[in-house]
Amino acid sequence: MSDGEAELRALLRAADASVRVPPGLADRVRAVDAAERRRRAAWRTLVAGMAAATVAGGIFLAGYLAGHRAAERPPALAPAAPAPHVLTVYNADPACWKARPAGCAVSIKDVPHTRDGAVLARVWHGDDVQGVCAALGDLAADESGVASTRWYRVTARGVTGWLPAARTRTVADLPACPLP
Amino acid sequence: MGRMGSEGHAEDDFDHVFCALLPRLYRRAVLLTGQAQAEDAVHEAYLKLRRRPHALVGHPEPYAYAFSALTSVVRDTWKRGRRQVLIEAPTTGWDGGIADRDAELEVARLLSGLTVRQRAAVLLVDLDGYTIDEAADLLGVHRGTVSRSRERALAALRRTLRGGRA
Repeated sequence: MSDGEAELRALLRAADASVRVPPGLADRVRAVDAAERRRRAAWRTLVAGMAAATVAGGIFLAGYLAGHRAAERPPALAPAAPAPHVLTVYNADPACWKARPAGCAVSIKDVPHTRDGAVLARVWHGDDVQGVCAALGDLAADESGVASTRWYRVTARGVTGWLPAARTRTVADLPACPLP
Repeated sequence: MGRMGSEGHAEDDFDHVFCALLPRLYRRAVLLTGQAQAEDAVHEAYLKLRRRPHALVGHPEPYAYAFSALTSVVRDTWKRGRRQVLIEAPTTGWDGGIADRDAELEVARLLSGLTVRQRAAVLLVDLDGYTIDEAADLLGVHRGTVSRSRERALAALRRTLRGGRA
């Protein structure tokens, strides 16, 4: 092995050792998947419920046709309530935590791109928005340097648009947005 | 029922294996794509691998398999990024001011002239200790590609060293 190779390997090892794995990484990485699992479980419950309702309905129909009125209808299937995904807007600049000047506003955009698209609504630090799903878009960073290519589709102020993940510190348990 | 039970076991095994690999994968993601996008990259790799949990759990070298998936994710993201207008990447203080990142930044500079796949080849050979043939096989590239990638990284290293001495 040449000196150059040894030096390259030493640099790579030093770089590797210098990387600190952020706390809670495993939970965040698996967060969306947890939502997917819950959806699957809800789907299985729904399918099982529909099957039970179909069987019960068949029995009811058979009894009706035989001239016997069923004493009771099968109970209506309760729709699965969607899990709430409330994201709280975060502005890294402490000067923006109390006042709400225009310069402190965070844009909700119609596309998950930093420079393209239109601003649909503006929100400020501490505002709650309703998360819909997550997707990848442009890299967006906040003033503290936290950066992510993840964007959340959110509903705020009556409109639905895109909020950069860097603009919230909520660990969002959102499903992936369907591909366009 | 049996199938669902089997799937449940596979998912648990997958989570166990992936979480054991996660710190190492994250560190590699930082070297491949930078700290700002490393978490997103391992997250996407997780979702990609999760579609076929048996493939990771049953692989003779789960790390190598996961690393290959991570490389694929980073490449796809890089290709997509070329079609988008990105904001300017923060250059100082963006990671909370961690002072001991000189080596990481140095490596980023050395690898900056390489494609994602070439970077991955260098990491597999010179950091993880795979042979050139093994790395080429894992990444689905010719062994000459791996050799050339290392040569380019070494050339960049020599240029950097010359610059440092000047």
